[in-house]
Parts: sequence; structure tokens; C-alpha cells
Amino acid sequence: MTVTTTPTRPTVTEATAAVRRPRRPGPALRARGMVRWLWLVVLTVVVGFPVYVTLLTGLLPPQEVAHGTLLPTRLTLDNFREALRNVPFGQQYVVSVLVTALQTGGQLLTSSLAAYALVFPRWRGRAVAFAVIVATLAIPGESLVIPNYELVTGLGLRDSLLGITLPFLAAGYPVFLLRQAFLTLPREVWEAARLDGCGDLRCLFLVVLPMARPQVTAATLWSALAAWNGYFWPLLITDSPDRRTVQVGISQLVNAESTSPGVIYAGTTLVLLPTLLLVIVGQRFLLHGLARTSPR
Amino acid sequence: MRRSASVLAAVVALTALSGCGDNGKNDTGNSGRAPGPEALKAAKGPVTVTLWHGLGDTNAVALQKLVDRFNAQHRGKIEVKAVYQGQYPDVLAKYTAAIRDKSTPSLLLSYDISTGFLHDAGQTVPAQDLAEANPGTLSLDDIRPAARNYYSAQGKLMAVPFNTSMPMLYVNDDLLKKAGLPANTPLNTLDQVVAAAKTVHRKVPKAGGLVQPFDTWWIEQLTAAAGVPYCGPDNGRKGSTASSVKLTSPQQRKAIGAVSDLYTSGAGLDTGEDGSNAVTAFQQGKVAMMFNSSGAAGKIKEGADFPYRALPYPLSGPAATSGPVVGGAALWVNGPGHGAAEQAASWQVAAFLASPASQEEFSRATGYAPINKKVEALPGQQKTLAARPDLKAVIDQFNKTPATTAAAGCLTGAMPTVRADVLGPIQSAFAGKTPLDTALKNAESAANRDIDRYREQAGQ
Repeated sequence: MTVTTTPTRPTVTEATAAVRRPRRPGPALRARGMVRWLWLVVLTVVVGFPVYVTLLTGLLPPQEVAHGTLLPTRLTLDNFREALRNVPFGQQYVVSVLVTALQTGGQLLTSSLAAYALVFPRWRGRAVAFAVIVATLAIPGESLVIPNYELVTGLGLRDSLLGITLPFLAAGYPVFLLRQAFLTLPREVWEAARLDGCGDLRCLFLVVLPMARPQVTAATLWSALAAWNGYFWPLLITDSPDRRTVQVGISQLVNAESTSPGVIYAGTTLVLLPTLLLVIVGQRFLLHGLARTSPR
Repeated sequence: MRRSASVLAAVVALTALSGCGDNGKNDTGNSGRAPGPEALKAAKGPVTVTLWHGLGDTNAVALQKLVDRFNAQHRGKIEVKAVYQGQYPDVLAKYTAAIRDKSTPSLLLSYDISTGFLHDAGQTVPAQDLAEANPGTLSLDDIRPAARNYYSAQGKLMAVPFNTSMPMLYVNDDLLKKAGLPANTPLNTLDQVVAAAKTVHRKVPKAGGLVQPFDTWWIEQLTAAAGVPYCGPDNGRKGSTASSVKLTSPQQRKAIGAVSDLYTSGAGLDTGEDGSNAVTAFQQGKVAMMFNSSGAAGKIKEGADFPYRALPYPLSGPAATSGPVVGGAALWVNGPGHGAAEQAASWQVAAFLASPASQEEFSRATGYAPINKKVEALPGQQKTLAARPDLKAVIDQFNKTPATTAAAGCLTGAMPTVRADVLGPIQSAFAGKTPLDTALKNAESAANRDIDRYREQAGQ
């Protein structure tokens, strides 16, 4: 208050200087701060530059794309128009969102149930069960494509939303993530809840999951990103353009022998935005969740 | 994802083949003769033809337009549903999964190097049989010999070429001038191109002499343009499909060595595997000459603001036997699991798509060379060619390319894996890390292992 009412400039400087001086860090600390800031700037550039190039290239006319312009003088929405003209992105967006929601929801449900069973109730063979689940992480996804294809087709679920998501309703990694998270929770709370007559499902949903919120968010993000970015499986199991996901749509912007980079970048931007928003909104939980899963 | 998908395509191809080993020998996939127009007449109600393809962007739009026109002309009789099934390798992966599942499409547009596999899989009816059973639909003599040659096995046309491209030489005239090379410098042979590239590199600071995408296709092209087969025996075209790959013949050594020398000496520009990067470097005026597909012509035009020319791909062997190999994709009519009416309807679609009018329109929209020779006789075509010298150059090259064993390219179902495995050693040699002779030997043995494995799986 006194500072703002002080009439002359020198006094302001003096006053702030007087206030700050005792708190000013030593040269060593300041240097470390500088290094940290520089490091952050470098990281920001490394992460931000590709996003910038993607967005920018999507907005450039073809000649400028060829010349690798980074500070454009002319921007156009033509590439976005072309991308939207060639691929039914609107409908495919809806499919992608539904697939992501269904797949993430399914994975979260199955993995929290599994993780709960692996951590809280004591039963013979749960170490083996956990080992088997972890072992599934080592199976390459490619080797599962044909069996999955035959199963889903056998069930008559080809070209359907359920067909796209069915093989991925359960996954090993979120089970692992949540099991590690549940292990760090105080067992006493669970025991108390059980003593109070809480059933297993209520324990999971009302006691355990709320306590592990950061890791649940991390698992959600992991599942959602994997679902959103899926390409080969949704392509294989669907036939109609309007039952396909945006990732399949994007590949249709690629022209085998003479690609227009601008159009592809425009399409990529359209598909990238939701993922980017999800990460920006959820990053606090993502970082926190990942950090907390390490054994303490 | 892209890469894993193409590797997957190769893996799945093997699995699918081993699942249909017996079928593999029956190359008609049909017990009797190919169905003719009477089968279509006998059909009750409209026949649906599913067409799977891997065309994206403007190519897909142009194809859909043709399909819409066909549907309008055949309303109530035939209905075509064109479905994009991912990029070419994805299409093949999906198709192979469909073979196991007995849910193949009626008509498949599949890329050049899947020809060997599709031939072995025995799921399709040879185009030649269908053409004979359906007189007046498509005269096979109208198909450009180079394209017909590529999609033939034992002299029989297997599939109808639809979109075909060829390798070309693109020349930045400004850079040649800056290097003091006269405008009429001959660039017909590989030696002439290499000499010009060296001159540009020596005389124009910072300019590259030649760029070619780092893709095995270009090694196959150098081989065919040297007049020698890539595979033995006879590129797999005469008796059975190929059983070995050859990369170390003296002619190949000379041609590949000439280009590799450009790279190790710095006169060649390395822009990676993607042909689009080479186009970008060319448009930026960073390099005087570029080997690239004729399919890239449209995009080059969009972004190049200097005079340039499209010239035939330079030869290093005798003109009578050497010539580049066509690329692109062809239409395969599926037999097993599809009724006679459906097969006959599929053939109608293939014939329509290969007709002069369709080919003219598709070529104009996409820059692919029309595969039908009769297109030249259409009134609009001469005007189009006058305005598009690059397209004219491709067509001239098509007409000049002899239908020889070397120019037919290799026919083997292992082609996708061969292509993937030859790339590494060659890249290493072009980067100067491995001596070329060692690299060629390594690539050859890797490719032969692929072929052996494939043949074993396919029961050949």
C-alpha cells in the first residue's frame, strides 16, 4: 500500500530494493535457478516446436510449405477445408470419442476390480495371478491381431463400436498401475471399512478409489490416449467410413506418391487438439500419479 | 504405427498363405471357366460389388467420382461400394486377414509389390480369363505393354492395372545453367546424369547434384534400367515365381555404384526414405536433379517456382532390354466365396475403371499415367498433354519401355519383406559406413532368406 501511494520514482525503487534485498539468493543459488529456467526453456522448445510446426504448416499455402517457412506472411484455411472435404471427420470424431469413452471406462473398471482383488483380500495364488497379468505386457500387440480379428468376427461384431473396443476392455498396464497405487494406501482404512460392514464393491468405489485419485487419473489418461491413438485395429475391424476413428481418417489424407504436407498437418491438428487439451487439463494428475506409483 | 502396420502386412501375409496352401496352386480360384455376361443376366436383383482400395486424398476423390458414375449407369443392376482400407500395406494386411476369415471383397485394388502374394494366394480370377469370357468389355491389347507386363505371370494377365506410375528424372534447369551445363546436355543414360550431378556439385556451392528417395524401389529401378533381372529365375515371370534375389551382378554393381558414389562424395542429397522430402528439397532449389515417381509431378508443380523438366528415367543397359518398372496398383477380381454374378459384375467394374474415358479423367485429376492406350485418341487428351509436358513425358516413357523380363520387375510374394530388408545395408553403403560390395552381398543374402522363408510357408 505504501509503495503504490509513494509519489516519486526513486522512492519506489528504493522501497522495493529495501524490501527485496535481504531475500535475494546467493550467486550459487541464482546460477542454479538460471540453469533450471534455461533447461525449462529448452524443454518447452523441444515439446512446443513440433506442435507449432504442425499448426503452422496446416495454415500455409503449398509454396510456403515447400520453402519451410517458420514465420509466415500469408496464412490460409484451404488445407483445413481440403482435409474436411476428403474425410468425414465430424462423424469419425464422434466414433473416436465413443471408442475412447467405452474403452477407457472398460479398462478402468476391469483394472480397478483386478487391482483391488490383487491387493486387499488375501487369497492363495494372487502373486501368480499378478505375474500372469504383468506377463501380458510382454506380448506384442501385433501377434494378437489375428486371434482378436477372428474372435470379434465370430461374435458378429465386425464394423461395430463394440467390435473396436472389445479386445481392449481389459489391459495389463492399468492393472499394474492401480495395483502399485493401492499397495501404498493404508490397509487400516480398508480393514476399518470392512469391519464397519462395507462390502468389497463399496470398499473399492467409496474408499479405495477416492484415496487413489491421482493414480486413477493417470490410468485414465493412459487408457484414453491409447484408445484415441489406436489405428490399425479400428481400421481392420471396420469397413464403413462412418464407423471409423479419426486416426484412420487422417491416413486417408496421405496420397501414396505425392502427399500434400499442408493437408496432412491440418488433419493432424484437428485430431491433435483433443489429445492436447486432455494432457493440458490432466497433466497435474498425470505427473502426480506417475510419481506416486514408484515404491516408497 | 505406419511401420508396424507394413511389417504386420508381411507377417500376416505369411500366416494367411499357410492357411490356404492348397488353394495356392489353383491360380484361377475357380473350378470352371471365368463367368461371363450370362452370369450377370441370371442374377436376381442388383449385385453388390465391394471394392477395397488404399487411395487417399485427391486420388480417393477421383476414384469415388468414377464409382458414382458407374453406379448411376448401372442402377438396379450393379452397385459398387468403394471402401478405403488404409494405406497400401494396410489394405494387404486386411485382405490377408479376410482370406482366413473368408470375407474378401469382390474387387481389390492392391499395390504393385503385392502382385506375387496375390498370385500365390489363389483367391482371384485372372483378368485374362475374365476378359476372354466377357468379349467387348476391355480389350487387353489396349493396356500399355509395360503395365500389362508387370501384372502378368507365365504370360497371363492376373489383374487390371488401374493407377500406374513410373520413375522419372526431374531436372532443375536453373541449376544446370548455373553449373555451366548447356541447355541441351544429354541426360539419357545414368552415366550422363551422374556426370552432370558431379559438375553441379563442383561448380554451384551448396547445391546437390542428385536426390533419390531412400527406398528400395530405386534399387529395383536401377537394376531394371541396367537390363538385368532382380530375381531369379527370370524375375519369376516365366515358370514359377522367383526363388532368389540378385543384387551383385556386374551391371547392378556398376549402376548402383555410380549413384552410391554420388552420395559418398557429397554430390548426392540424402533426404531419407519419404519421396515427399525429396520433392521438398527439389522445390527449394537445393538439388539439380531428382529421381522420383511420376505420381509426384502434380505436387512438384504446385511448389516449384523455377523452370524444370520431367525426363525419362536414365538407362544404364541396352535400350532394347532395359527399362524402368511400373509402380502403382491394379484391380483383382476375387473368386472363392463370390458368386458367378458377383465376379462378372466385378469384372464390369474393373473394365469400366480401365476404359479410355475413365482413365483420361482419373489421369487428369491425379497425374497418374493413363494405362489405356486409346486415351491418346480422345479429343481432350492432346490438349491436356500440351499443357502438361510432365504427363506427356511419362506416357512417352511408358510407350518406349520394352516389355522385357528385366523391366517386368520381380514377382514374388516375399516382395514386401525383401524390400524392407534390402534397405538397411544399402542405406549403410550410401552413407559411406559399409563398402558397397559388402552391403550388396548382405542385402542379397537377407533377401534370399526372406524368399526361402516365404516359399517354405507357402509350400512352394
